Order: sequence, then C-alpha cells, then structure tokens
Amino acid sequence: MRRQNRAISPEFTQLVAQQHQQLRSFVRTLGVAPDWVDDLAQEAFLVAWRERDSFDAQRDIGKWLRGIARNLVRNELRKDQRRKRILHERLSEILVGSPDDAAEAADWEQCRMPVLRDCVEQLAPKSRQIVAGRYGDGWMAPDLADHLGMTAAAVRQALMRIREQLKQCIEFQMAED
Amino acid sequence: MAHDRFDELIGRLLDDDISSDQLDELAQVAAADPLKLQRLREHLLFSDRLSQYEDELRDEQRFLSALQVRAHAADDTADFVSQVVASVTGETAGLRNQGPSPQSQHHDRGWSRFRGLAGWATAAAALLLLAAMLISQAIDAGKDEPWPQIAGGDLAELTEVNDSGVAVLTRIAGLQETTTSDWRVGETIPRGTMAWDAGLLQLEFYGGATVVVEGPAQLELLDESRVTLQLGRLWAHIPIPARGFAVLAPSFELVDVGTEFGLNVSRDGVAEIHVFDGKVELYDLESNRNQTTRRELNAGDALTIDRDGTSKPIEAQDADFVTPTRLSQMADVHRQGQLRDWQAFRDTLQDDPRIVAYFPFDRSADDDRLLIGYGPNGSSLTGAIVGCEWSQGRWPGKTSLQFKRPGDRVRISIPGEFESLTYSTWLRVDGLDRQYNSLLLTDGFRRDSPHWQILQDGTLILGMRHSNRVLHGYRSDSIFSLFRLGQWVHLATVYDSGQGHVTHYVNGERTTREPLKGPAFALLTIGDATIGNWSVPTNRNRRSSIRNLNGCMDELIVFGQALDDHEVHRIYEVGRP
Repeated sequence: MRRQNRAISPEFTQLVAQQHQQLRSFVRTLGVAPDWVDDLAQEAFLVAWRERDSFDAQRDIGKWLRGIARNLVRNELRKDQRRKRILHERLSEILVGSPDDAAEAADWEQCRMPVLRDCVEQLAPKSRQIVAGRYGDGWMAPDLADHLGMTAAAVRQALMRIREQLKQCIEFQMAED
Repeated sequence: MAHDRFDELIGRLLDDDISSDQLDELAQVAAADPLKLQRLREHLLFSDRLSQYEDELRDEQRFLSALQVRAHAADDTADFVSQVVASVTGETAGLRNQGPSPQSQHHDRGWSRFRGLAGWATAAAALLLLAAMLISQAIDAGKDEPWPQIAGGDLAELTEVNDSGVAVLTRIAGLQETTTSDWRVGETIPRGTMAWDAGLLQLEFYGGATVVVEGPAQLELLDESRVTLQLGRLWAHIPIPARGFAVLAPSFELVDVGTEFGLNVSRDGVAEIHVFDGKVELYDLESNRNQTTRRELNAGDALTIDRDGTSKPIEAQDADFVTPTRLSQMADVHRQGQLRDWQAFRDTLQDDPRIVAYFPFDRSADDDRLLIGYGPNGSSLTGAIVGCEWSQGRWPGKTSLQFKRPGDRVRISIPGEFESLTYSTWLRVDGLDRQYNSLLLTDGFRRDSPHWQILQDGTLILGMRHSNRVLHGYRSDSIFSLFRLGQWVHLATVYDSGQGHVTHYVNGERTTREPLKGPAFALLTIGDATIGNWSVPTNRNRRSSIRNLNGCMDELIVFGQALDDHEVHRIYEVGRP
C-alpha cells in the first residue's frame, strides 16, 4: 500500500522551489520539445515525491532528480512516435547518453535566477529587445527580423551571441561571489 | 562541417524552425564531436533559462501550481512510477532503492534529508511561498493554462483499430425489437447475428452487395460476401464486383452470379426464391458447392424449397420484396415524422425557462451567415458564422453547420451567471484532427468558464478552472471510436453544483460521473465563446492553438440548470435520427 500522498508537503514544495529551474533547463538539454519541458520536469518531481523514502541522504539531490529526468526521457525514446515529447530521437539519444560529470554538477548550481536577471538586464537595448521578443512573446526569427529590420539569419546569430554572453556573464559573476 | 553551419543549425533548433533533415544533420555532427555536443547543450541550457526568465507562462508559481494539481491526480500513475524508479535504481549506483517501497521502516530517513537540505527553510518558509502563490492568483487570472500540465493531460493513446466490420448499415425503417443492438444508420456491422421483429434495414456489404431485409428476421453475417438467413425476407442486388455473394438458407446455399433476387425464409424453414434479373446457382447445404447438386435459376424463375430440400416452381412475385428505392421512400416518410416531432420539441423548448442558449441550427432565409438562437424567455440570441458552410442535418429538410477548416467557427455571447449548467448537442464528428476538438469553448480560459470539447482519444471533456491552482478536466470514457465517426450522436454534459458532480451522456445514456474537484470560485459564466473552435484573447504575439471541430452540428442547447438523466434521455429520444 502506498502512503497517503495526495498533495505534496510544504517541505517538498520548498525543495521544488530550489531545484526546478535547474531541472527544467536540464530537461531541455536532453532534447525534450520546448512545449513539454515543464511537463516532463513536473513528472520527475512527482516521481521524486512518490519515492522520497528511497532517496539516500548521502547523495546529491540535484543529481538524483537529473537521473530521474534522464530515465523519463529514455522512456520517451521507447514510446510510439506520436506520443513522444522529444524533438528528435537520435539527438535525444546522444544528449541523454552524455555524462553528468562532477564539474557539470557544479554548473547546475549556477542556474539561479537572480544572477541571470542581472546579466539579462545588462544586455544592450537591442539585444534585450531580441531576447524579449523571442522568449517573452514567442516571436520566431523571421517575424522578429521583420520587426527589427534585420534578416532572420542575423536574428539567430544575435541570439547565439547573446546566449554566449550570458554564459560568460554568469560565470564571471559566480567567480566574483 | 564548418562551425558556422553547426551554429546555424543550433540557431534554427532554438528558433523552433528546423526541419527533420537538419535535425538529422545536427545529431550526426554532435555525435561525432564532443566539443560541438557540449556547445549544443550550453545553448539548449541558456535558451531554456531565458525562456524561464521571459515567458510568463513558465513562471515559478505556475510551475508549482501545476505540480500540486498533478500530485493530487497522480494516484493512477503508480505503475508507471515504479517502472521509472526501477530504472533509476539501475543507473545510480548506491541508491538502495527497493522499487516502489511500501511503508518502509526507513520511512523518514530520506525525508529528513529533504528537511536538512531545506536548512533553515522550515514549514514556515514554505507557507510564505504558498502565500505568494495565492497572491499571484489575482495577477494570473484570465491567462490560459497550457492544458498538458493539468491532471489527465497525458493523453491516452488512440488504440490501434482493426476493422472487424463486414457491412455498413445504410437505411432503416420502422425497426422494432432489435435483439442485439440499437442500430444506427452509418454504423459498421461486424460479423454476427442480427435479429429483429419488424421493420426493414439495408446493408451494404464490403464486397459490394446491397441487401434489404424485412423483419421478422434473423440474419447472420459470416463475412463480407456471405450471410445465413434463418428467417426473413431478403432482397439483394449483386453488381458485378460482388459476384459470388452467397446466402445460406435452411436447406441450400444460394450463390449469386451477378443479379437481383429475393429470398424469403419463413418460420417453418420453407424458402421461396425469386430471381428478378441475371441468374443464381443453388447447391445443397454443406455440400461444399458440389457440382452434382448444382441448380441454376434465371431471371423470371421462382421456386419454393422445403426444409427437406424438395422444391417446386411458383409464380414470380417481385412486389413482395422491398427494394432499396422503396425502402428509401419508406425511410423518408419515417424521417419526416421524426423531423416533425423534433420541430414540435424545438418550439416548446424556446419557452423553457431554464434555457440559457438554444441554437436549433435552422438556416436563416434572411441572412445565412447568422446563427439564429434563443436566449432566456424567448429572447433572441444571434451567433456570427465564420467560415462554416451549411449542410444537411439529421434529417432531409433539417440543416446543420459544417465545421471543417481551421478558421471555421461560430462566435456567440451568452450572458448570465449560473450555479449549474447543462450542455446538449447533436453532432456528427467526421474526424478528431486535433488534440482538442472544440464543441463550445469560452474565450481564453478564465476561472469558472468551462471548456467543452472532445479530445483526440475520443473522450468528452469539460475543462474547468476552479481557481488558479485547481484546474481539472472532467473526462468521459472514450466515446468516439473510428466507427462512430460520421454518425449523428447526442452528447450532453451536466455540471451540477448542487449534487457536486459532473456527468457525461452519450446518446441519452450516462457514461461517466465524477465528483467536482473543487468548488467553483464564483458562479459559472460563459460570456464570449466559440462553437467548434477556440478564440484566445490576443495576447501580444502569442500564437493560439487550433482546436477546430471536424464535423457537423445541428443542435446546441445550454441550460442554466442541471438536467437529470431522464430529461437528457428525452432530448435524445425526441431528436434521434
């Protein structure tokens, strides 16, 4: 018999609040389709909640959650094509198969919103506009390009550059702390 | 591959604008080069982080609320969970996981770790968080919740369907006392016995034969070109592609070689054969069409054959048999009667004080782009038809609106606030093309404004946002199998706040009843809404999902009260085609 776990406890909610940003982003790096990232991350938390008894106190909770997410994605790969929540089978296989090493585990700790916020808000106005258009309003590059008088390729390049800038900014800030 | 090309592919991937060939290419390069793979992962990571930061639909409160809702609803996923956990155990060495652990004696061990991790974050801190969630509700009101995140969002897979049918039922007149099933025109008939006391039906066999049978009759469909007639009067037309169609009678087998014939089998087992055109062959029963038993009958021949096989010629009598043309006329007369009954019902319904909105889908002679309806107390209520075309409804002479293209819809506005609601519609679903196929959807997805639709797996669902944190889809069992497509069906859903449940009905019968998951925050409202599609308030540049219906609707009623089983059944009975 399963224990009564109709709703998750406040303590677990707190844990989710600490971990969800990292876990959701991690799920995306496994090649899960953007619309299904949060859904799959929630599923991982539900599994963790149900199986909380089996968690070994000595282990890294983030790593445990990532292991669950990885297995959920492996399950996706076995599913019928129509129901898959991943973008591309081969791509997900490669991404799921790449190791979660120690250095990277530390990176996941960097996934905190305040640092990201500082870095995003420091972007040049045009870059900020591109980020807001793409990620806030859901414009795709061709539409955004029309709006900003650029080409779609230039918008995609700008976004590539912005993501790299943000990575550097965050690494810099973390080193300063 | 050039670095630029790889970046371009990543750029396209993250713009959700990548072809499957490009994905193949990306995967191939990433697999071969660990540095490129790492680069891809970083961009995926930062893309998601930016999305979390910018996209209000992904904010933390929403994520936590959806998780809470799912935790409530997660009981049925127990098996799935144990599978996943078993595989986690395999991967992470050192996890002493016994699979889905029962009341373990180490019950609190892992759990205390969570507390430890939380550190100072005690229950009090968590309560603060919950308080923040409550406050955020007010801000969130009016936004649509991505449905896949709510309970039951993981759609049951459409089961693979095999066609077990051998014929389609194409006409009916005055059927009585059918013993096996409540047959409908358009229904696929599988192998098996059909029996009825009176009335006629027409079957079109997959092999090409058309057969009209008059009751009392007992007919067994053996396959797509073979039947056994134990009792009844059968008329058959066998076009050339259907040659070889066989009827097994009590003492012989009749094989048709391209013709029209009548066969009557009476209760005492005496058979009468009339060949109207072409010819038929007779063989002794169970002789495996032994040529020595073969007899041939030509156009104009008629014969009686006793149970013992003795036969004698008789005079041909085609007037005793009902042909498809005559059956069609009889069915029309019957349907005109049904249409008149329904029209009388329609006229009384307009005065029903419980009516909130009634659309009989009668094409207006004055302006056929308006859907004329009735509101409370006989007031008028007009819908704006967008795209849809008029089509035939349940009966000849009754109109319906056809919803087909992604833009097709009827815009309506239904004022008022209600404690309970009853939805009733007659429709013909031609396909479940979308994940969500709209019947009547309120704009956006506001609190206490229900969404009534059909999911792609064939279930009927009433989606309710009870509060910002409690979203629930009240789902029926699957209603639409492949074989119900193209048939007129009556659907009704009752939201009964007094009794505290939601009930779904199909063809007048209750299929599913589920307790309310939460009290409505306030009274239910419909307001601006769309029939057969979904209209989302334009929210900056967000793309709206397509939820267009593929099919015809020829009646829609919304009552401001909960109807009971009996009343729903009556609407079905008076409206059944």
